[in-house]
Amino acid sequence: MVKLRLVFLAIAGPKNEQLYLEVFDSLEKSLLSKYQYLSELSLDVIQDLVQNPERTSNDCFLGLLGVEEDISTYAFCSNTNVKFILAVRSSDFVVRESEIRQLLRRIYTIHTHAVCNPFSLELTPDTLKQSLYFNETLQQLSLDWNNQ
Amino acid sequence: MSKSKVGEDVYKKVEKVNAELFVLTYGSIVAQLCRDMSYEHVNEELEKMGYNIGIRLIEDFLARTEWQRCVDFRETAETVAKVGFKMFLNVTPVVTDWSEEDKTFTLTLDDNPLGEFVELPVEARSKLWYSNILCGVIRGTLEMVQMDVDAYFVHDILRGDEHTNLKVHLKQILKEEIPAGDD
Repeated sequence: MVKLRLVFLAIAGPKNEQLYLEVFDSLEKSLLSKYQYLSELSLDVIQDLVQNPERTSNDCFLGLLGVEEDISTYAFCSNTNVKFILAVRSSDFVVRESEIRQLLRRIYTIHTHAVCNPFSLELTPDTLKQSLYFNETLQQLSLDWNNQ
Repeated sequence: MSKSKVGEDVYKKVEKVNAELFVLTYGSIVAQLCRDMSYEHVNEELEKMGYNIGIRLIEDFLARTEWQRCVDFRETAETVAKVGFKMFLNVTPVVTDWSEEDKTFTLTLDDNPLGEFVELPVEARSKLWYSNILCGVIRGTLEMVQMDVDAYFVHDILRGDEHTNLKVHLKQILKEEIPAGDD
């Protein structure tokens, strides 16, 4: 079976609390704690990047954060300090940064759509898990991307 | 002049408001009502709110379109769908499913602008009609033009059905009341 290119997606709120962590390959559920650790690491990197006084660009897309074994993580930070961390498997495939940028943008858009639901009050870890729209669209996005 | 054309023309001239602002405002009203009372009561409240909007909205409609009296209930239905909805919500529902005596019709809304972003919580799915305010608006506007109608939802995409359908039933034509003192 071809290994899926997308490994996991983590979303963290303004206070770095974890809102969402989705592992795309269902066979890798056992590696959940490893991925949680990776996402915490990435959050630290993001914090450094964002607070760096020498930072010139105000781009929301933070680019490649780091590579660990064969997984590279990319991040996107919105204006409301909601952080999106996407991990892709980089050993077998060549990954273009523009594609990741586009994908993260679209994830941001569907996240915004899900949050605009009037019946979801605060941004808790449950909100995004319960949102059918978010889950289904994310599945679709990842399938499309993996099939490219 | 066809009704669709009139609807479009009037829509072009009216002032517009940001759709997302409107939709999010309506959403917070419904969500707050759901926190305050049971879903059946929410439906009633939305209908009452719609009624209050409707009795005033008709004046706006008549002022902008200068519409003359409709000949029969069929024409009323077409006017509501092609001119009314178009003007205020920029959607054109389809009028279908006329009953035998032309007293009941169904409005099918292909895309309900009020329901954008909305996902109903599981308990609400069998009880809440999210866009019930529209039923009240229809009842209010038609009452001001001497038609006593019942408007109610039968299907809603937000509930998981295939389409959003609103039934309107004419109960009676109200006679024009002559103010006391006139002969």
